[in-house]
This record gives sequence, structure tokens and C-alpha cells, in this order.
Amino acid sequence: MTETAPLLSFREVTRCFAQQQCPAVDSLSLSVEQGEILALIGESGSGKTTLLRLAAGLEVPDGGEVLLEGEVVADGNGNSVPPEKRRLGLMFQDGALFPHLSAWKNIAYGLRSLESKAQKARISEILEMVDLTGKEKRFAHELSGGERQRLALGRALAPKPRLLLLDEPFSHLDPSLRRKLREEIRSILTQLGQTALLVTHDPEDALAVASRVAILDRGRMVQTGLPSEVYQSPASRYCAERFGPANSVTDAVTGEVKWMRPEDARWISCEVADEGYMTTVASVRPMGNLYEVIVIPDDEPENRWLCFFKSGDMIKPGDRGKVAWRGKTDRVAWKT
Amino acid sequence: MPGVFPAEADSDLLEDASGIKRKFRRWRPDRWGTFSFFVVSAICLPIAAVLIQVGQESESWDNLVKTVLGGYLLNTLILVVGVALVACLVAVPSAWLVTCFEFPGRRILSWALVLPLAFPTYVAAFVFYQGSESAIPFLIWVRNNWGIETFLTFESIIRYGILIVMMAAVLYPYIYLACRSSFAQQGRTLLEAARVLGDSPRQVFFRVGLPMARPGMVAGVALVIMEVINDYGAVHFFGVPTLTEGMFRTWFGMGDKVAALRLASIVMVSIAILLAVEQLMRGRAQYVEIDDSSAPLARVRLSGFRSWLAAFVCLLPLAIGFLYPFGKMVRWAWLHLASDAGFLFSSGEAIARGTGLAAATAIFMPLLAAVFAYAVRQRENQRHKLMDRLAGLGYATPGAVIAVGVLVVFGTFDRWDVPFIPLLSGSLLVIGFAYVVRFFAIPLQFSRAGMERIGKPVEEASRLLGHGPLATFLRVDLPLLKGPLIAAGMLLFVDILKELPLTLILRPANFETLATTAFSLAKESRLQACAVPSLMIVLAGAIGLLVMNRWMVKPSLND
Repeated sequence: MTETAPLLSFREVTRCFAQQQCPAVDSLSLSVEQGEILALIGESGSGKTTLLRLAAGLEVPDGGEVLLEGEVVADGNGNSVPPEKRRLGLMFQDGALFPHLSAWKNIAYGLRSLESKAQKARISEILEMVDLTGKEKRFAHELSGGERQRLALGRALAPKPRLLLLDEPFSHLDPSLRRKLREEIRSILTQLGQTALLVTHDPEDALAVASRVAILDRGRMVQTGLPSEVYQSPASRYCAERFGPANSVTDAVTGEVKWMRPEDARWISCEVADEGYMTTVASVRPMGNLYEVIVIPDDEPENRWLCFFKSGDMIKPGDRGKVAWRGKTDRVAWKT
Repeated sequence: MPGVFPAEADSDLLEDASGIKRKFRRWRPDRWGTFSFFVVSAICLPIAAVLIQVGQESESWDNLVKTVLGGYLLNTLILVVGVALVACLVAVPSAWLVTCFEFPGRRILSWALVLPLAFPTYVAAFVFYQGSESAIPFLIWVRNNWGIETFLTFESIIRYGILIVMMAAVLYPYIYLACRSSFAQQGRTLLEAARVLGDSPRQVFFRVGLPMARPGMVAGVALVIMEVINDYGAVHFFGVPTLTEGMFRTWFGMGDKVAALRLASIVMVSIAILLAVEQLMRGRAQYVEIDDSSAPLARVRLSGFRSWLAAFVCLLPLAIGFLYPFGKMVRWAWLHLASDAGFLFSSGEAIARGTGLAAATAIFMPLLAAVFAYAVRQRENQRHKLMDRLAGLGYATPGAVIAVGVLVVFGTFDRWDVPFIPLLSGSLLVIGFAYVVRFFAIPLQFSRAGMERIGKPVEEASRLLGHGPLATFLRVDLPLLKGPLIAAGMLLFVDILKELPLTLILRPANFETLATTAFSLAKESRLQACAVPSLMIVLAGAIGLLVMNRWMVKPSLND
């Protein structure tokens, strides 16, 4: 074979829930290539978790096909390979550890096809990888939040799944622990070259861990690309707002709407500069290391732009001046 | 292997109002679906059999309608209304007092007020019937002075009165528990808010406490009414023929099966109405929670006369519903064992059979219920929820009705020459099956609550780690359900030992439970002898209460 099929692909997949009017996933097509870590981002209800569950076999699509390594594992007619036969790993939001089993037995759970010697070796290897050596006798409730999630990761990786699915794995952790665990998971996954599909609503998770990002909105995919691309050139307000505040800027020449990050704004107090948009300052709030300034562009009096300026101590509400937007050359708005 | 699909399925396209084409999969029976369908059919069969046979020819029905039916209905109604009212009157104030006020003995009373529940109505009836004989001199005086008519009126007023008070005194804890937990839990902050806003304790009770306790109260009242309708022993003893007593008389006295079935269906229709009313009035409260663990309300301390009044109000139901009958029973049992200690062994073999069957059923049924609850969980669609509800139907159906239905089913199988059935008729399996039908809701509720606690993700994690549904059940759910299943088993054991009407109808020869032993001894007026098995039932019932308290769930009637 010259061309390898993507590890996981969705073809026009649709999933409706009986109680809801619109489909949770709406004829969506998407592939996960071998070795990549794809993050699915979207509001709650955008269908990202449903998509993950469709991949796992925990949901059955109402239409379209789900393929694993080129083989159809679910079609729209209710046929679906059960989850236990798909050789995937899934790490749940809250870990979903078996409360009646020790850490050791939790990891051993997915390894019953191995003979006992190989099983032992694999468990020790995993314990070391997730840094739980010495804690294998503990039960889930005797581990800290971070340790629990690491155990969940180890348990999911132990049977060497072809694809690891992660369902908001950090959402129950406090921010500092979250950052640490994110880093640990990223390094483990890249070391293993593990293909993974990550569902999250936190842009930081996606930016830190993923090699590609897909944004979902009401069951459809609205944008996909490298994390930095998606961050810097969002396709719509929805996409832009997944990664924090963004301003809609209408190009004075082409009339095209672009989405600009607050930190890309530059303040030009000189009114005669031939660069930027004429604005009036509405409010100024010092936020520690920067100033959060809201300005009203003259061209669109209904609109408000949120700008972060490094130095803003001389800007006052009511001031007039120009705001210019930095960025790639093709995105710089020139006003003539 | 990927790409290998289960059996071909058909699907149909439906177009909804918005014009979007949606695919709905038809319900496909798989192993789990077939299993749960089989269980539900087995449970509904006897209940359905009652309704199906109603249309047949009956010789005595017309006569029955003309003569006794009105009496049966009236008696049932009097008892239901009377017991419900008295029980509410006792339960609601005592629940309010123990949650909101501090007075001598409050802490002990708070849990002791539940104890009367350990008395099955028929056991209490033995004691109270004997107690009612102390009214005889007064009645004789009435007859001598005011004539026979007045005597009869007085006699029945006293009989009905004692029966109602007695039933209310042992059944009120259902309402008490519901009110206490709603006063203690949901009410707490609101009650305090009402106080801060300037209501006196009495105003708080009527304006906040009572309206908020209503859903729980309604559920409690429904349970009380069910128990009243279900009762056979007490009404038989007091000679107040209700619909249930009527069924016994019609089938086993007059031998008219169809007429008995018609009475049974009247009972079932009344219960269906009761449940519908309950559902309407209860709103969204799901089950009666028995839990006093939440942070205590800042109680108002009562002093002097009012504190003693509060203690008296709470002690009164406890005295009537527990202390008095319990004391009597202990005395009788003592007197009897002192004179005839060998008595216990004479009917030992029969009792051992009954207890053995109760134990076997109590072990088997939780396992069956766990598998069933798991099977239902495999697909969370509407049809399965319905099946879940149907499986618990027996709990809302009086034991006598189920027994009659089981007889009809096995009789029909007999006539159709279904193989092996003649061997089963009159065997332990028949009565064991009837127990399953009657009490399936109890282990089902425990299993369901337990599985809810385990959570779907844990099961899904097991699936993704390569274990099929059955392996997941055996390796994850079953070990985690151990506690709830053992609790359910204990509760079942107690309930089966206590069960009277169903056991009386279906028991094979040389088969006695504690309940039937006590009942037949009491019928022979051997009250002292009957106190021994009765006390055992009460003690077992107390164990059941402890289990219930520990696990905090009591099957509700509706789900």
C-alpha cells in the first residue's frame, strides 16, 4: 500500500438525540491522521463529546460512516462494532477509575489477554511512565486528583490502543495542577508517538497539547488547522471567541470582516497618521501589566473594540486617536 | 473483528415537522433486551391474568353485587380514609416537633417513632383485638340499659374505631419519615428564613413547613393506603370485610373464581387511581428519603408545660403503635414459653421450610434484579423505561391479587398441558415466583440506585478496555453492587417472613412461614403461643428498619 488510510475518519456522520430538535452531530466529516494529536473545541452542546463517543463506539451514528484504519466500524444503519472490539483507549473527565480495584489492578484490567509475566512487566512500565511507582496498591480514593488522572491515562495506554481518546481530561483539576498535568500528558503522548483525539472547551489545553485543532459549532466543523493558525486567523466570531476575546474589524477597502486579538491593537495618538482607524476611547482599566481599553471606531459607532495596551497611563476616556492592527501583512488594515 | 457486524437491521426514515430527515433505528432485540423482556412478561403475567379472566361467566357475581359488594367497598373506604387521616394527624405534628423543637427525650423519640413499622398490621391486630375485649362490660351495660340496636351501633363503632387507630398506629411511620426528612432537609434554610421574616413557629408550620412537606406526605399516605388495602389478617380478625377479605371469601369460601377476580380487578383499578392521584399531587419528588444526617436545624427550645406536651404528643403514637403491643407480646411469649417450651420445635420443620424459601428467594432475587437493571441500562430508550416500571408493578399490587393471578396462570398452563407444569403446581417454585412478582421492586430499586452511583463512565471505561457487556457486569458492576444487594436481600427476607395473604393462598402443604404460624395460632385463640412467632417477626422487622435506615432508600410506588 502506498497510501495509508487515516487512523480515524468520520464520513458525513450524523447523530440525533430523540429529545432534541437539531442533530448533535450534523453530517460531519473529519479525519485523524496517524501520529497527530487533534483537539476538538467547541461550546458545550456543539457535539464534540458526541463525536468522541461515536469514535469510541459508545454512540451509534444515525447516518454516515465511522472508519478506523480504513475499515468501516459503524454505518448509518445501526451497525456498530462494540467499543471493546475497537482497540481504542479513552480517558474520562473524572478518570472513571474502578473504585473497587487498586491502581495496579486498574491498569491490569485491560491487559487480560497478556500472560501474567508480560502483564506484570507492562504494568510496571506504565506505572513508571505515569510516575505512580510505589502507589500501585492504593485505591482511587487514596490518590490525589492529579494522580488519579495519571492513573486513568496509564490505564488507557496500557493495552497500546491505536488511538487515545481524551474527554476533557483536565476539567476537574485546579489551574496549577491542570498546567502541570497538561505538560506531563503532552510529553508522554509525544514520546510514544501516540495518536490522540482530545475534546476540550479550554483553548489552553488545545494550544498546549494538540498538533491540530478542529472547531465545532452546532454539530458541524467550522474550522480546522494548526493551533497557531486557528488562533490568529479565526474564520468567524464563534471560532475567534473559542480562544478568548476578538474584535470584528471591517477592512475599509475590501469591506471584508476580520477578527483581531486585543493584544494586536496599537494606539496612535497622532490623528494625522495614515495608518489605523479613527476611534474614541470609551473606558480605560489598568489590569496590572497592561491596560484594558475599550474604543469606539468612528466607522462603526455600534461596535466596541477591546484593546490591550502595554502603556496606557496617558490615555483617558473621551480621548481621540487611531487604532492600528498588527498581524501578518495581508491582514493589516490600511486606511487611505 | 472490525467490519463484522451483528445481524442485519432494518431502519426507517421518518420526516419530522421541520422536514429534516431523521433515521430512527427500530428496536432490535438482543440478548439483554430479550432477557429483560422475559422478566417483565413473567412479572406482568399474573397481574394481566387477573384482568383477562374478568370477562368470564360468573354464577354468584350478580348476587354478590346485590348483597355484599357495597359493604366491601364501604368498609375499604372507611378504613382507607380513617387510617390515612389518623395517621396524618399523628405523623405530621410529631415529625414537626422532633425536627424543629428541643424537648426532653427528643433524640430518642426521633428514631423510636419509626419502630411501629416493625409490626405487621395483623400482629398488632392480635394484641388490640384482645385489648378490645375490655370494652365488653361497657357493651353489656349498654345492651341492658339502651337495647340491642344501640348495642350493635356501639359495638361496631368501637370495633371500627380500634381497628382504625391500631392500623394508623403501626402505619403512620411511612408519613412520619417522609415529613421528617422534608422538614429536616429541603426546609431548613427556608424555615429559618421564614423565622427571620417574622413568622411565629406556628405560622411557619402552616405557611412553609406543611406546604413543602406535601409531596413527601402524599407519597407516605399512598404507602399507608396500599398497606391498608393489602391487609388481610387484621380485617379478618376484626370482622371488617374489605375487598381483600372479600376475595378470600369469594374464591375459597364460595369457590367462585371469576367473582374473586372481578373483586381483584376493582382493587387494582382503585390502586391505579390512587397512584395517579399520588403522582399528580407529589409533583417531582422522586422517592421518600429516610435520612436525618443533614445539618440539624437550629431547634427552638421548649420549656415547662409546653416541653412536656411536646414529649407527650410524640410518645403517644409510639406507645400505641409499639410499646403497648410489644409489651403484651413479650409477656405472652414469656408466659407461653414458661409453660410449654417444647412448642417451638413441634412445628419446626414447616417453619424451617418457609424460612429456607424466604432466604433462598432473598438471595436469588437481588441477583436477578441486578442483571435486569443492567440489561435495562444497556439501552436507555423509552420502551426500556416502561419495562423497568412494569417490573416494579407487583409492589403496588396487593399480595392476595398476585396470589390469585399466579393461581390463574398455573391453572391455565395445567389445562394447556404445558410440560412440567403439573410438577410445579403446588410446589415451592410457585410461591417463590409469586414472591418475586410481589417484591421485585425492592431489589430493583437498590440495584438501580447502586448503578446510578457507579456511573456510566466506569462501565464505558471497562468496555473500552476490551470487556464485553457481560464481563463488565461481572467484573465491575457486581462487585460494586455487593453492599446494596446484600441490603436488598435482608429487606426481602424480612418482607417475605412478614407476608401473609399471598403466602396463605399459595403455600404448599406442610409449609409455614412465621407469619402463617402466628396467624393460625391467633385464629385458634392461642394468643400466648402466637406471641412467639409474632415477636420473631417484629424483631426481624426491626432489623429491616435498620437496613432501610442505613441505605436510605425505600422503593417508591411509582418507578
